[in-house]
Amino acid sequence: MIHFASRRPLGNVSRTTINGPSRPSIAAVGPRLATILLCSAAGCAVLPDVKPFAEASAQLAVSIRSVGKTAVLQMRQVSDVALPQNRKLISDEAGKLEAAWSAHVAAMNAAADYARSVQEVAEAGNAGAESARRVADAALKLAETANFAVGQTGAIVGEAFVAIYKQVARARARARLIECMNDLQPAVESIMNLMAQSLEDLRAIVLAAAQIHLNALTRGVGDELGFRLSLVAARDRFYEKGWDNLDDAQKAELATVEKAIAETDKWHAPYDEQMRGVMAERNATVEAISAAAQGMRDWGAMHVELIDAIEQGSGIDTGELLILIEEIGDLVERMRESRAPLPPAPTPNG
Amino acid sequence: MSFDNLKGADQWADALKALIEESQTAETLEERLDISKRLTEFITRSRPADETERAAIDQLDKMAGAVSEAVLIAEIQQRVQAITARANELAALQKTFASAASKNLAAAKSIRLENLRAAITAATGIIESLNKVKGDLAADPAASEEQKGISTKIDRALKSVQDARNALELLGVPISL
Repeated sequence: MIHFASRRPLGNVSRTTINGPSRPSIAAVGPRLATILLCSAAGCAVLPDVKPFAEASAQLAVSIRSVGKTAVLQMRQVSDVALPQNRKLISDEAGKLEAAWSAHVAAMNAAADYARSVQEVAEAGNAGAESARRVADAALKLAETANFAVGQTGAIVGEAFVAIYKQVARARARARLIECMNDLQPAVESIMNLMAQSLEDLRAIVLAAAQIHLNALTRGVGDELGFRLSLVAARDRFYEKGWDNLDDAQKAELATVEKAIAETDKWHAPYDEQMRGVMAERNATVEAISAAAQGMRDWGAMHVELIDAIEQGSGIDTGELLILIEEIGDLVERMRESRAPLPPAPTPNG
Repeated sequence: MSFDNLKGADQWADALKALIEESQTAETLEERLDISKRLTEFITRSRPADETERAAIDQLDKMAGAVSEAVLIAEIQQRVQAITARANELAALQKTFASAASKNLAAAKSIRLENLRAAITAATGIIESLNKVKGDLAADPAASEEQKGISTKIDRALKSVQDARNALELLGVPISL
């Protein structure tokens, strides 16, 4: 069950600590350094790896788009084989679904952008030393250019700045992430719930649309199929009795039945192939939808875990999420592959 | 309901009537899929007792096909409507996420000190340019008094690069001018 992380103040580093007094001196650097070094263990710890969360978000956005697109395509395909009086109706519903699903895709893309921005902040926080060194180098170059007297003191202070800012950057990033991610947690939960409901609706649409397709194929061979089924039932009754228990007349009748069944194979084989194709496509899409729904749940749970990890300065296990990301990618690919164009519907008359 | 023992158009008509009644109370997806499959099975299994019933059975099959499809279309319409109803809420969430992303990217830029580094780099460029102008003026024997006055102003400007100084102060880097 998802739980909300508690909202805390922005850690132990106040705005004053970050920005410092208006005119600092070397003497002022000491207390500031001390203040920062005294920050909590969480404030000083390396920020957790947010990349898997960002990657999962991007993969989920792709899978949400793909399953929606596939469902719309399947509905359009179905509108071609449905009863004539229903074709426009189904096509219109496909258009409505396409429009409504675009709002889902846009929201999930925004969520993925948000996750990427969380990664940006975390990486900026963990790269404080590099950022500070680039600034210190630029500052020293400026001092040199303007003939400021910095000398060795400047270089030493530059190193101190790098060391201090490494902690400041983490504290700033941590504060930003805690504030932002706590604020966004209700939105994460909302999108998770809305997507779960819509994915369930999409699953129902795919199953219903596939059934219309299967029914249409069956209607196309209706009478012949009924005839074949009666032949198969008759054959099975002979089989149940066993060959040794059949008299000559029954054996002759079985041979006739088997011959008649074989005759029906010329239209039944392509019909069977069509049915299997529709079912394979349906199953692949439903599987991809289920994986996306599971992915949304895990994504929402990981957001909460990340908040906890950032607040407590601990790491986070992203192994399962990474496996899920890979699985979702595979399922989406399989779903795309299952959309191979089908041959024309068979008819008993060829 | 089993179709195995049905004979004649009347019995098939009764069976269809029962199926249609059941379809009207089917509310869940599973119930609708199930009734739709059975209505389609009806089409494959229904048989006229003799050729005089052929037209009647065809008519029953036609009705079964229509109801079988209608029940699934009802399911699709209901689900599409539910998905559509979430669009507004998702649009609001989209804005929330976009706003947070924008703020985070600005925060990341600030944490990386990108603006500060850009200001310092720009100030360095300006000073380099001013130094070059000053050098050119000093090397020109034909420079007028007015031009030499410009050189003095440049000196003053170089000594009051407050933007750069303020920037350095923000870093806690003391600079002796």
